[in-house]
Amino acid sequence: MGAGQAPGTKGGPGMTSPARVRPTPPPLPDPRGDSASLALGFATAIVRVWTRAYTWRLEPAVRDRRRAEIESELWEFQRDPERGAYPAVHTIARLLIGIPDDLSWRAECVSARRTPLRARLRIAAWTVATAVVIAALYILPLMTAATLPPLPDKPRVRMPAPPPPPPPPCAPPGYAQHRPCTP
Amino acid sequence: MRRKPGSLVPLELAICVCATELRRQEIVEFHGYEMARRLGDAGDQKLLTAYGTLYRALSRLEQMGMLASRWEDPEIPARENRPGRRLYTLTAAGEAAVRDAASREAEQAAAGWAPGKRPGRKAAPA
Repeated sequence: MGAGQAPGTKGGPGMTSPARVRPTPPPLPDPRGDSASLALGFATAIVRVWTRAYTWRLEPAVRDRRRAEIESELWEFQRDPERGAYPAVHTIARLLIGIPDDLSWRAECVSARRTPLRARLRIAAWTVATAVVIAALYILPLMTAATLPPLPDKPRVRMPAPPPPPPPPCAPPGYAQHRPCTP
Repeated sequence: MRRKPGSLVPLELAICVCATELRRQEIVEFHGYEMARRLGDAGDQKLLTAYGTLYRALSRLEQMGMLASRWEDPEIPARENRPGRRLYTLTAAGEAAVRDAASREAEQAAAGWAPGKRPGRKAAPA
């Protein structure tokens, strides 16, 4: 793994020669009591959630790096003896002020990941061609004449005898060919 | 707003200046929180550098070749039971950018130019 990948991801961080770095401060008990540390814990959680949100669906290396850096910073801040009187307010303020930069950084990452126009056109052309071939493979067999199976023998149905014809209509007087009307 | 390629915004320049000062104190590598603290303490008043602003500026400086970075040895955070740090180092290009900015500032100061005041423009006659 290269130096760009976050610790804990595949391969481990790339190492170079040791250089002087400020040593890690020891963990501090919170002199402001439980409520202050609770508020700081809440603020830290909000920062974590926001970081997860704006790095969501980015490239894993970029995403893990940003998340790991923020996580490290939150940890350092919690252990810093000179962190100020209102660490929770400080944390939330730093989060809120940075939201526009977070979003524009995300937009940069997304646009950098996008393929160029020519490659996109090539992909679109291949997709259309594949769809046409699949459609043709489906439609062509439907268009050819199919040999149907022979019809079954005609069933012999006995029809019942037709009913007798109705009597002829009555005729007015003078029309002999018809029977007279009976009231 | 589009920026000129290779030009530094004030925060990026401030990061390079802080990194130079750290190097003078024999701190060669620094991590994000260290820089945020330094930037906050740099002025007379405590300034807040947001997470997003800081890390965006750091990654931009890295892309421009003014900073180099690496993850620290995973054994150290494992031993100290803490998250790993991304360690940044000022490169020769970064040092040159700081020197250029300092010399430009000195020239401007010598010419009596201040931000917001355009050099070489005479006041219109009344």
